[in-house]
Amino acid sequence: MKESYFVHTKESDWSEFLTSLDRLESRWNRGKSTNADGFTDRYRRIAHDLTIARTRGYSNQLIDRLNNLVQRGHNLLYTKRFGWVHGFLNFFTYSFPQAVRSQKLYILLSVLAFVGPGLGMSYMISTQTEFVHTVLSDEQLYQLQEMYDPNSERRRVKRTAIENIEMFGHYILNNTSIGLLVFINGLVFGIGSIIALAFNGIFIGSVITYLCIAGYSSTVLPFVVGHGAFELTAIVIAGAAGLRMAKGVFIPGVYARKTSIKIASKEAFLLCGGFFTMFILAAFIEAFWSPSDFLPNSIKYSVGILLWIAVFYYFLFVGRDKHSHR
Amino acid sequence: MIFLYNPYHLNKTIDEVLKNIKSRPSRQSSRNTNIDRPENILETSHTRYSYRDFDAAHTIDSRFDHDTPEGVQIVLRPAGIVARGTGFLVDEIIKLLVFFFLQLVFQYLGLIGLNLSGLHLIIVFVVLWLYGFIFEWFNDGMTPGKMMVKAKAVNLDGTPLSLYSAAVRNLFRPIDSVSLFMVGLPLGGVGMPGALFILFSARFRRLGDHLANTMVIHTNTPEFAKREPTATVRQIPQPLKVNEQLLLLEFQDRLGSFSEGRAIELAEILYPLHGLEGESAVRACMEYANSIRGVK
Repeated sequence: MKESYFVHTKESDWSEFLTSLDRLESRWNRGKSTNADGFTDRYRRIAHDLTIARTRGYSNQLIDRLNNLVQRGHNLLYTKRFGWVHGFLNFFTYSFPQAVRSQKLYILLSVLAFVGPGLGMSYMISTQTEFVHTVLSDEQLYQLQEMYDPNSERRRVKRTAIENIEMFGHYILNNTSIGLLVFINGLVFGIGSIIALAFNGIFIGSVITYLCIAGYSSTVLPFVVGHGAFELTAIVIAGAAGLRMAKGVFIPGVYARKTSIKIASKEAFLLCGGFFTMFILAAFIEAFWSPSDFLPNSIKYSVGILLWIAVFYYFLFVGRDKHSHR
Repeated sequence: MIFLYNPYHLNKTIDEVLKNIKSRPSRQSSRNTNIDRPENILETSHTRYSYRDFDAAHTIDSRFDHDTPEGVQIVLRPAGIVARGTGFLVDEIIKLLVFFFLQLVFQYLGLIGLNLSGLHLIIVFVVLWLYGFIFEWFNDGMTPGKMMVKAKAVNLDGTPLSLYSAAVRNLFRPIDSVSLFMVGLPLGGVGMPGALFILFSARFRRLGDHLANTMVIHTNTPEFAKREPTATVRQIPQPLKVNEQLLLLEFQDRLGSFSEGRAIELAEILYPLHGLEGESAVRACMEYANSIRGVK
């Protein structure tokens, strides 16, 4: 059969397929049944036409046109339409806590790198307060004192809702960029993550210790305890993800380096998605819950401790008994 | 003319290479020697031959065939480093411009007494982190940069991105472009892992693509200007091979994009066939093509 006759006999079929493609691809019809007006049958026929056109050596333009039709039909028929709610739930009730547990070693390293220097600095400052000057400048110390002094001018003025939102934006940007920095620094032979973790640990440890020694513990600790549950664990997880990447890139072990990087990033990605969400949660708590002055400290302490218990429960027990849906 | 991947085979046709492969014992086949070798290699699965043979028989090509369940191959054309790099840069520039614009707007609002810097920071966060994800999820795999270079991100089988794959490939963008975030890193030998991965992977996929099982393909199809069709038919004096027939058809389809002189130059290559020169040679080729196509 010559090409022009082939086109002549099939032309109406193709143009009808094209109109139904245009209709089904529009946003409003997305997700509706594609079986209407014999779409699938026509799709199969046109797929057949494409192979015929290829084997008979018809012109490239015709083949391109048919290829385009078949590709669009294929996309409509074979697009994965997972419920994304289910995907989210699966990630947070199964994949993420399992990933954290399966990367025990890196989490442990990360905890050591973060908490160790922090506690050390805290001990040094508690024995000799002057050590705080190695970390914080006078100006920073002055600002901190002003922020957390229960009797200062600034604390008497209540924060407005707009200021809360402003702080939320500030924390969300700040936290995620710290997390990302800790993670990406892992690509500098893994040392980068450890240094970033240690630096953050020292900074946080010295600030809290100094303020407690200065006698502001009644304002600092209730502020910190709530969002700390998410923020501190998230930093640790970011560090662990960075270290896992470093292991994949620099110590491939039995794998080829390319494969090793792929495996490492697959595992690190689960941690990334998790710590990203945790930072956002932490920013939310830090902006709207932690600074609320009208609540008595006992409530803030108990909620904070409950949050810590919840976080530990989540990472230790959630998702153990379920098998992956993927 | 088919150019082959391995320089050793450069002057051979693909048939010669395949013949060569058939005569050589391969790693896989030593294990199942009792299985008969089929006559036509092209109709068998590739797994019976070693990876190296398969590689040698492959040509460099920017096309990638996806086999559908109907047994048809769809041709996808992965976008290479130039198209993807351009799109990436355009996206980054757009983001910078948006940040600049936001700064101006919110500074002005602050001057007239509306302090909305919280909103400002939240928008910055959204643009910084969710730009790629939102565009690719709602705009069929196309960010503005990709729209400009006429490319889009798709799953490996050519279907639109799922929510999961759009999220994965965009969360890993900072890793793929590390050196933009940290200037010192190229010294560590890591530089832009994404670019390296694109250069050294078969379908030009960066690390995020490998994780999300996606790739970026060209969306534009070559369109050629049509020319006034000739209705007459001329008998071809001797039978032509399929490839040669295809060349004539292609010549007819693309005629509108050639200059007058170039068309004549190309048509006169077939002088032994039609014995004509100038404009009439072009017409003769068109008529040959018509007879192949079956125009009446």
